[in-house]
Amino acid sequence: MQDKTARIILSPDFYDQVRLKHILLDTSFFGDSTAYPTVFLEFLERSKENEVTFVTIDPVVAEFTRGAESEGILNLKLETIKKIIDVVMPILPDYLSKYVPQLIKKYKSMGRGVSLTDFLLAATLMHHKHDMLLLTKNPSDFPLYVFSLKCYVVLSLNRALQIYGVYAYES
Amino acid sequence: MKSKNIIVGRPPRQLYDDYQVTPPEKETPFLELAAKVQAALKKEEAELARQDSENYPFSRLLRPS
Repeated sequence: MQDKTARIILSPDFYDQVRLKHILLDTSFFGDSTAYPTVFLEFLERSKENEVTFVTIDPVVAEFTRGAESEGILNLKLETIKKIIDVVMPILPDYLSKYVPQLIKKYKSMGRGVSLTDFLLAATLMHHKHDMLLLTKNPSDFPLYVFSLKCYVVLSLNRALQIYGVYAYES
Repeated sequence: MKSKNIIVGRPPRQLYDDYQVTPPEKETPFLELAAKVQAALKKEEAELARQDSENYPFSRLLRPS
């Protein structure tokens, strides 16, 4: 049953920060969008009014679609992604040969538990650093000594608060 | 007014080709689509729980850490 109290609370400067940017989406965004579609639909529409483009990468698509029991379910998941995003960003050869090694160096021991998908999200953010922000609920894999937190999105539920950070790569 | 750089990528529609599935004949409204995906996700979770209890029948006796 859908949580009727669900709502999204944005940081006061949210639209100032994201206007005209590409927002790179992590896997949890797609799950939450289907769990709380009414609030997320409003958020997506309002963001698009502010000239925001939503993008993702193939490893995120794979994370969201894996486990689909049938072609029908797979198709539903792909249709959800298609409705939310504007573009699937390519994983360029530079990401693995240049950016991921740089990130591994920067993360130091913290990088041990970071998934390859998260490294590729970070590499995509590095490559498009002037125009792109990352929206993720996973702050542990995007440390503030590498990325900067620009603003936030709170998903307020009946008995929980879930926080998405909006991160930039600026160094 | 500042404009966005051109982003090189591929349209989400091409995902259907990548995954070799047939796209739906008509678009489903987002709310209806979300409800269907949510039901599918719940079914997947139930199936995983069933497989877990078959494979690890004593795991439910363990205390959560």
